[in-house]
Amino acid sequence: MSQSYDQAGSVTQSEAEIEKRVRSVIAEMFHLSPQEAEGQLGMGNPAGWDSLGHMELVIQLEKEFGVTFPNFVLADLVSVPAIVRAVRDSSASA
Amino acid sequence: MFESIPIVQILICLISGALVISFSFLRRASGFLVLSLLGIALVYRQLAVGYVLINVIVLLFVTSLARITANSDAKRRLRWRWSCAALIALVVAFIVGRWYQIETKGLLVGGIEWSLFSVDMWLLLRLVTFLWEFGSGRIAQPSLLTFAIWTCMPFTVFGPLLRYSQFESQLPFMREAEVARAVYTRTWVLNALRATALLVCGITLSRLHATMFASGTQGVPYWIKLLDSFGISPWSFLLTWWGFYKLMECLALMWSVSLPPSFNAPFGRPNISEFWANWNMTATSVFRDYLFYTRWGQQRVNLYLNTLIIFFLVGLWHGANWYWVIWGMLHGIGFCCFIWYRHRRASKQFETNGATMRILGPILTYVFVCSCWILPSRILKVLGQI
Repeated sequence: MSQSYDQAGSVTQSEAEIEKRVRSVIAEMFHLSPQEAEGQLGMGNPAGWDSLGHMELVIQLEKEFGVTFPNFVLADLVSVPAIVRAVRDSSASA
Repeated sequence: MFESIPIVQILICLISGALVISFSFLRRASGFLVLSLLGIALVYRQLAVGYVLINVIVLLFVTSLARITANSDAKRRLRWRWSCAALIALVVAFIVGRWYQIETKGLLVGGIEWSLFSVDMWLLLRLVTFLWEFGSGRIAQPSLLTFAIWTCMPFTVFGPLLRYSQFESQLPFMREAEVARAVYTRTWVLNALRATALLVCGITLSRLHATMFASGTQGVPYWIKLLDSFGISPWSFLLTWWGFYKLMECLALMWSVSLPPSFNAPFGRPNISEFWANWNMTATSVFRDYLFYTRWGQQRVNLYLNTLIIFFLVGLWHGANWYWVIWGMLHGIGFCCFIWYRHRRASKQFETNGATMRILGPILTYVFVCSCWILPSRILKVLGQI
């Protein structure tokens, strides 16, 4: 586990760890095989990740990481790197 | 249909693009600004002053708000709330103005015609996205020059929508070397030819429609009406505007401005959600990003209610009259049915044959979309008789 402690003493996760968990949530949500989950993921790929699936995914991600994304960020969470960035930022500001 | 194509705008874009490519002294901010303002003056004529002033008022509001809320985290919420309040005020003014058709009566204040605001759906959308992006902190205090070029640029006056943040991120377009490089390529020429071909096909179909119904609809065989409603009219509309927006994308590259795509083969999509995801995408994305992606709208019943509200607003954006309200509500009901079907299928409450749905889905979606253009006038006719 690549965890470290920030100045306040709370556990912070590395981006690789966040990405792994994000991919796992996406895979579970859209029933992807491990190989598919490792590939290029984004809105439209897998097919279930459309505007309807997007909000369901956002809610699952918030549950998984215990964060609340600001409303105006929701539309930007269309790829794994964008989600990782948002999780990192939300965790930092929490 | 043909009459509604902004031919003047196409010519202005073509000429301004050619000027920028030909004369290096125009390839700077002041050059782009002069060309943009000239374009606005030619497109809007007597309404141009009102157009510019509306934008100036919004910019002044945003600039003042930026100063008040600068360098303070606590004041970010204040900025968001005031931006939302201004946004709602703009939308309400637009809808009320359209509902009472003030453009036909005129709204002369201080010798300036202000009625434009109530009819210019793209101006409204631009300002809404601008206020939203400013309120959310996506854009900082905008510069007057950048804002003026963005809002007056001829390539986006009648759509498609280029959000301020998207435009701002392209600002290095003022670098001389970049200008014209994108244009002298085979891809650009092919895209411009494709856009022109789409436009010509759309206009030809539109002419065909006009010829068929030159002496009214009475006496026209039923099968011709059917062919028109489910073939000629929808395709003429799609091809015309697809071609027009694609042409704008090509011409904007003459200024090295990259516009997002507007249409992506929306007919033939397997469901209504896919249709909307590929129809007039720059406008659709605003409603999706700002209204659909909300937590409130995702809770059980709210999902359906929120969908109906969104399509009601989409209808009002097209036109504040009963035709567009009914059109929006029909799409909203269709979309709700799709959400319900999707949820039931996901929870395996019923099984569907994949192969059958692959064939039936696009047909049903196409027939539904075409019906939504025909039904409102029929419904209004029936209601009128009652």
